[in-house]
Amino acid sequence: MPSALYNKMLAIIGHSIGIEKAEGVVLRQLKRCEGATPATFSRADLERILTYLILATALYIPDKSKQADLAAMLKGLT
Amino acid sequence: MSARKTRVSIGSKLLLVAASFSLPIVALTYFVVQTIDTNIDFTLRELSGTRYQRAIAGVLDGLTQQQLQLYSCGIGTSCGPAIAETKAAVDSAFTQLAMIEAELGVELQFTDVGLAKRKRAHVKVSTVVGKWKRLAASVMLVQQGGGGVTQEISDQYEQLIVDLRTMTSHVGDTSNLILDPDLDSYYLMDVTLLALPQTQARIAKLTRLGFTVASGGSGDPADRGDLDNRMKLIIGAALMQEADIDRITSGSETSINEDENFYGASPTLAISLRPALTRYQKAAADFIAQIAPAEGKGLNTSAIVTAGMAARTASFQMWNSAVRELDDLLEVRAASLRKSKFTALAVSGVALFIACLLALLATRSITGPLGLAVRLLEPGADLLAASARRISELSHQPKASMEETAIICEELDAHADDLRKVVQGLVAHVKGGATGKA
Repeated sequence: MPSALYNKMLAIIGHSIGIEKAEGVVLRQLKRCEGATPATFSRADLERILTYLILATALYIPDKSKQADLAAMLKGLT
Repeated sequence: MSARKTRVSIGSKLLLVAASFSLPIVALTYFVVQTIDTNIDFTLRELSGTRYQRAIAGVLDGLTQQQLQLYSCGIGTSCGPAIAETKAAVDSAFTQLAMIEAELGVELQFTDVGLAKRKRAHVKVSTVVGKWKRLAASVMLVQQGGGGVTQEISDQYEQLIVDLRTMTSHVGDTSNLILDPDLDSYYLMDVTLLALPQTQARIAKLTRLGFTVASGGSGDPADRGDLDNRMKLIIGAALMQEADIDRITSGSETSINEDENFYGASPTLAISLRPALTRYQKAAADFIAQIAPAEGKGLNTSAIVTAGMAARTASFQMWNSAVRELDDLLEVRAASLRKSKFTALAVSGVALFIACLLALLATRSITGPLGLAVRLLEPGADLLAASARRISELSHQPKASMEETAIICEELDAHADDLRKVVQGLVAHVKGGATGKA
């Protein structure tokens, strides 16, 4: 069962790019965080992959202001 | 200002194709139902014909009965009250005929145009009623004067009987009875529409002739007129046997034998018809024996009239039984046709529903994967454009981030993977086979 932080992060990203894409993006960036799983996902894991998440999600959001908004919301979770 | 082209979706096109194949089903169903409806209408018109015929037969029954009663008056029997009673019966029968005429006259073409077209204008109901009233008045005068039946009165009876038979023929033509398509009801129609009215007219005519020969005549064997009438009686008797009794017997038996081949066997046909047929055969044979006696036996007016009346009565009893059975056969046919119509509509409806359902499922199985591909392509193009732009930006940066480049490649690869799966699914749909999950 994914952690609450994982679900919250997924919801924020899914709101911007769609939940299906969000799941794919998050799982791919989670691989950069050794040992991290959706169930054990913590703030420390989020801080480690935050930059990568922002870079990856930016590819799906053409509007730069919306990119900035998403980045701000994700930073707010840390 | 360029004209906007309205495109029809693939799903709509596929459904249009399916609908176009449904059109022949709908058209064929319409023609099948129309054919069944035509047959139902045909049968219902036959039933209208038997109703009208019943009214005519009611008049013919009373008229022939009164005619023979007059002959019995001529041999010393008191028959004033009986004559008055049959007059009332004939009047009532004509009232019934007028009511039926008002209801079915147009349908059965007893109109001025319908009758004139067939050169039967002289048998309009009102005209025939007029002839009856004149005859009834003549009979009343003769009765009051204490006289017997005259040549003129006999001729009037015969003319009315001819007119009633012409009306019967008209009913047969316009009600489709004469074209009845099933053997059992066809032969029964032949008996009720043609053979029995023929025998009823013949009985009346031969009774008159037999009465004339038996009660009149010069007694001189060399009298040519007397010989001619006797010959007519013998010929009439032979015709009655061959053209009436044999025809009615054969028609009735054929109807009974063929009954089970058309909409199932009637439970009452044989039970009702055979006893009536036997009674008619016996009474008609007795009458023949009186008008064409064996050698050595003379003609007896009283016996001829009595036998004639018995044969007449038996023929009308036979007619009533036969027409009742004919109505039953026609009702069964109409009910069966209505059931066939319902079955045709129900089966066509179910077939059409299944065809539409299959078309819908097939359309969805095509538009589903296509829609999935469409949903991937547009965002995929955006991803490609964003990735290309970002790579271009990175290429101009002195310290390009390898990680960002790796992320871009990962996302592009993931999208290519999704697209590959959708394309594989589409290929499987085009060629047929397992699609797997996209």
